[in-house]
Amino acid sequence: MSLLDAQTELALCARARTGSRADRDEAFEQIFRALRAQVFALCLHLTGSRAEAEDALQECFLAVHQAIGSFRGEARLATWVYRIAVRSALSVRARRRDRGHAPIEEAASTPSPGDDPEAQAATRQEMRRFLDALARLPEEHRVVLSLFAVEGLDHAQIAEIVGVPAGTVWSRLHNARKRLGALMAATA
Amino acid sequence: MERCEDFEVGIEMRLHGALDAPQTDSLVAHLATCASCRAFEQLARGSENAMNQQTNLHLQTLDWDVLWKRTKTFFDTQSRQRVLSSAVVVLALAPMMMLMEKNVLYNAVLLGGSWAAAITWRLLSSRQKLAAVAKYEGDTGELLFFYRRELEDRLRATRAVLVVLPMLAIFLAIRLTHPFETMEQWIGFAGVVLVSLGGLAYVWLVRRPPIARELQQLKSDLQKR
Repeated sequence: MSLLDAQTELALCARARTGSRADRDEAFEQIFRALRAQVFALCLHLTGSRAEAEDALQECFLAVHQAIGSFRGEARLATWVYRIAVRSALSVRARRRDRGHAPIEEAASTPSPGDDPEAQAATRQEMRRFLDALARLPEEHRVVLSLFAVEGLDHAQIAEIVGVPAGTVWSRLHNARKRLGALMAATA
Repeated sequence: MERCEDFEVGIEMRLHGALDAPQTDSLVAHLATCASCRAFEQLARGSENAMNQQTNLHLQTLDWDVLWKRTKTFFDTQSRQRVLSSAVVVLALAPMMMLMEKNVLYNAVLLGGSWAAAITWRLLSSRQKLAAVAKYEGDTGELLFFYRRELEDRLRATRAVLVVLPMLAIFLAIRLTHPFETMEQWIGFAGVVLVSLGGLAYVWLVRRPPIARELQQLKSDLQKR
């Protein structure tokens, strides 16, 4: 996973805004490569589905591609992209009306040959319980938990993405975690 | 930090590297004596690990080249669709304008219905806002967040006016004055267009700037907090 520093971000934005067509495409591809893993992780936690996370990622980068000309650099580029990613993922999730509180699709892990089958089954069951509880969380709780799970994001950036004061981000994360714990306990 | 709730927030901060050394010491001392906070810490660590594990497992099997190609194709499709949908709107509106009746009762019902829908929408959204404000009472951070979202919505609405009003004005002007056979019809057409331009200028030059300023101020206040 790689992130861009502020100087590189500014240079890429300038190229994406004012460069030739080839320059713009190259700058945009660099932005995509630098942020794709984090954006995908965020979309995965917010949508609860790999296929929808891929769709949300595409929508996010389409919006970035269209709007990068009007990006004035008031915030960090990454912060701006994550904000768009949150909106894209929530809108992809909202379009899936009939799904309700479907749990996140569990990624299949490869068990080690020496692992105890009972322990594996217990771990899988615990993971399902966690993913089910995560899927049942209200949107604002899910957003803050997902952002904190993205590598390389600090609480000040998360506050900027969500649009709340830095102190509120901690209380929101705490409330989200408490709710998650309650939901997990209810399904135990 | 005095209450368990404060220590739990401290646990979150420590987990994300935002707790200073004295507070960490105080937290560690508390954790040694409080089973409930230890359980919370376990929950916090466990859920972070589970989310990271899921992300890593999916990332390992993701083919980025395929996804990049799909994304580029998606961009091209979207561009084509935008051009196509503009053409469809023009093609659909033109015959509609010709076919609509110039019936006074029809127009009155249409206008009355639109006003009733607008007033109902305003009333319902006011109730929702009051409920939201009541829910966040006492939590300044959440209230400021709510206020920021509200201002952003209002700014978005002024941007929408920029697109919707000229379209509506042209539609109405043609609808009311077509087929432009007399001077009065031309004057009527120009009148509707001028009034809508005045409305547009009012929204864009008078209503929008204070909202934008207020939002800017709020954002800078939020950053200082």
